[in-house]
Amino acid sequence: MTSKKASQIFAAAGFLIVLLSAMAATLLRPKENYSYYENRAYAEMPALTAESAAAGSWGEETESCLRDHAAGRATLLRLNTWIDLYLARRPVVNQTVVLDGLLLPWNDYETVDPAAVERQAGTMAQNLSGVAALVESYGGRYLYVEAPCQNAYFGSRYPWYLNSRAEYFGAAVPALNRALDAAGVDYVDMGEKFAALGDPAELSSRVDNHYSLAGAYLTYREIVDRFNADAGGTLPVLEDGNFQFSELPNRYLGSRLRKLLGLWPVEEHLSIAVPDAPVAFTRSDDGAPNAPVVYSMPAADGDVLYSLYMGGDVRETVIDTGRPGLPTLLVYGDSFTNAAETLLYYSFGEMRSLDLRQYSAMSLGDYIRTYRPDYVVCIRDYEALLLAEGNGTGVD
Amino acid sequence: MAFSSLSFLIFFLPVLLVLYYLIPRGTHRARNALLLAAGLALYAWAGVRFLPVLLSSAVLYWACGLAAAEGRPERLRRWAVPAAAVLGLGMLGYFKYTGFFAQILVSMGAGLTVPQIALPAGISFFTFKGLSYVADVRRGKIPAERGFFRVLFYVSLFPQVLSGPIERYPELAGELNGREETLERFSSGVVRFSAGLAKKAVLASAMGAVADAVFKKPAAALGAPVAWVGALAYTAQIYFDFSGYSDMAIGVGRLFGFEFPENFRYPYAAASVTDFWRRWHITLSSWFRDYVYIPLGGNRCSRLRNAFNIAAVWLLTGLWHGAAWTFVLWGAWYCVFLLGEKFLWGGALKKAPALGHVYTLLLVTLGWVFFRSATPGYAFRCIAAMFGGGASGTLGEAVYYLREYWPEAILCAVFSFPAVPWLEKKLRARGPRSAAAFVLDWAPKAAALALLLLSYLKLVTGSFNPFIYAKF
Repeated sequence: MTSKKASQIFAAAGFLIVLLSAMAATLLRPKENYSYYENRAYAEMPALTAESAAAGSWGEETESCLRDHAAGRATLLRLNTWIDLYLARRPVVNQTVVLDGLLLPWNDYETVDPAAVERQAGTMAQNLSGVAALVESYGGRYLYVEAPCQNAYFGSRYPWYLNSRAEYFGAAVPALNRALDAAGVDYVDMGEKFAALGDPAELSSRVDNHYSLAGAYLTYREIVDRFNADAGGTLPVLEDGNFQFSELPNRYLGSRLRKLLGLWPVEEHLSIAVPDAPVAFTRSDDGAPNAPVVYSMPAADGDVLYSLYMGGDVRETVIDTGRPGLPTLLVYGDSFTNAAETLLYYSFGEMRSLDLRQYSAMSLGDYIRTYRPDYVVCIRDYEALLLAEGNGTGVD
Repeated sequence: MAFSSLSFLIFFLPVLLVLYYLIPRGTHRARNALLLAAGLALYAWAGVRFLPVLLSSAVLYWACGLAAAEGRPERLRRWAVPAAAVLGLGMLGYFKYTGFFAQILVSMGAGLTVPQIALPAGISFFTFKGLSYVADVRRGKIPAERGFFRVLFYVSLFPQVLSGPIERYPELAGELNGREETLERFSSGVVRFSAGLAKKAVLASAMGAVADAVFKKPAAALGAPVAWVGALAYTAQIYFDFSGYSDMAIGVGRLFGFEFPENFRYPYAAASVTDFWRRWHITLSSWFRDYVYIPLGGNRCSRLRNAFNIAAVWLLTGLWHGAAWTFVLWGAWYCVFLLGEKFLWGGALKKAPALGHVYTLLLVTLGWVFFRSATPGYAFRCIAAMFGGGASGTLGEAVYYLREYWPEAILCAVFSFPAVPWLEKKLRARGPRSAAAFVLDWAPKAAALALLLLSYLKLVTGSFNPFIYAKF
């Protein structure tokens, strides 16, 4: 056999082997429903109907399903990410800016319109002013907390050619603060507080959008110290000396590291706060009793996620510490509330928590009117400050 | 079902290959029947509702072919081509241009609703194939096919039905009756198909991501660096997308023993716009030359008439690509430069080939801006931005795209030019008994399998990107 003929047999046989093996492996592999690293459910095989066949949508949906269930997909995802990280050395992989010891979100390029930002800030301040007025109408106290998200906190670490959103944050945060001042709404900008401490790196996660428990603790202290300053110091406070930070040994698979399938070497561990004198409490989620814990502990050899804190985003959580002498608290906001709540419950008789992105049983106004919490706190990060929907909603 | 879909790659194609080669060699009728069924199934995958359009088109061209055949009454023959043109182009016009012309009427004040009509896949391609068949019968180049299924086979031939190449019936007719499915042809099909798949899945998709990101920006946000990067990315995307598709079609054809015509010949290496159009989408250009330009009189007429003929061809070429003013402008753009080269500066260009390459690449890149833009206004503002009339502060974004997609950009730059044929020629020159001959035997095949695996990786891990020309 000549070299030429042997090469032709090699090409033809190799081609058929690749295609037929891919087909067989795709058909025979055990079906999975969930992609752990992508944090999403896999597409299911669509039902063939006369309409879907006629329109061609069945073919499109079948293609999506095949893509999810193709042979070797999980391995190929890892290989593709590895190639992007270590061979192509792309600055952004899977929407994540890859830096030495830090993973940041990629932000699309944008043109900031200061006038539009001012308008949105005005709308938000109006919403918040309405909530504050409702709370104060029965003698309650309202506080709005602004927390720097990871890309705002580490904005200076972005390469010059990427968008850190510094221009947007530079317009949005002052605009909202001016509008809140004008509307008389009490607020605290934790970005300023962190900056006053020199922006220590340990206040924010390096692999996730959220602040660390240390950042959450400073936020907690800012909240209760303010309230105590008003009320003459009646709230018990977790302070240095009466609790310990305890670091979990598990790998912290923050959302950015998760997008990189855990393939970039950034070591970070989550902490929990353990009071020296624990406070007993009951907990219910969405009206159903739940285990009386604020930390959703991982398996010994498993990854730990940000949902360690309060079990992640829950529509409604009520923690009752059985101390009727202490005031009640309603805290609402996006996921930045979760880490703070693991500390806040300690200082109040009852803590209610709402995530209005998901909670729909009552409007925020009706909820406040029904439970009349003594203190109402909203915590939102810089990305969400001007979003008037979800947790930025006002009261009717 | 696109060639770059997993449905095609790991189900349709291997199953069809196995079934095809299970049918004994020499029974081409049975093998053709299988390919016909495959063509119709592949077409129906995009929506069964469009199948009647394909079938009725085949009936039309078959019947008009019979009417145009020699020996029929001249009165009947004379009307065959016009009838095929009116009905075939009427069908194309209804699906493709009704919305466009309704929009024009609305903009002129007519109180009507612009209809939303879904475009049957590949209609521009199979309409042109069918029309060429009837015209070739009328010209006596080929006898009319009595059997309907042979015409249906030609119109719906699965490697070509969605995006060409626009093969003429005389080129295919012989292969319908008997073609040689050899190991050599099969392996060359593997190489060609895999190369085309990689062009699409690895290069065109990456360049498409850049082009999409740039062209979705508001025109006011375009500055020179990012506008240039976007235009060049689209220039690479459309070449590797469409030539990749054509390579795959040619490759699939070879797997089944066919030899389809070439559609691209390194167009970005052209030294003039005229030369570019001899290298880009060759089967469409030659179709317009043979069935529009020459029947209009070609260049055997006055200068004015010749200019009119060229303008007519380029208006139609623009409109063939899409029902939008941007495509009309794109056609007009080439019309201007082709006329200029023909009557004014063509001679000068030949004397300065290096300048010709730069000139051609610049004009082609600017032309793609019209092609890619959503509106003519956007295209003009994008071109203005490329030459300094846009926003400032977009250097960072341009640098990001270059740093992010540098491997693909380098490969696009290399493979846009005939680097592979150059290398092949150098190796071949060393003689048939050298180590170079061994490399020539094995390297393309090994590379093809590696590219096949790389493409599979990209297809499985990326999101599906349809071929650009599939929407025409």
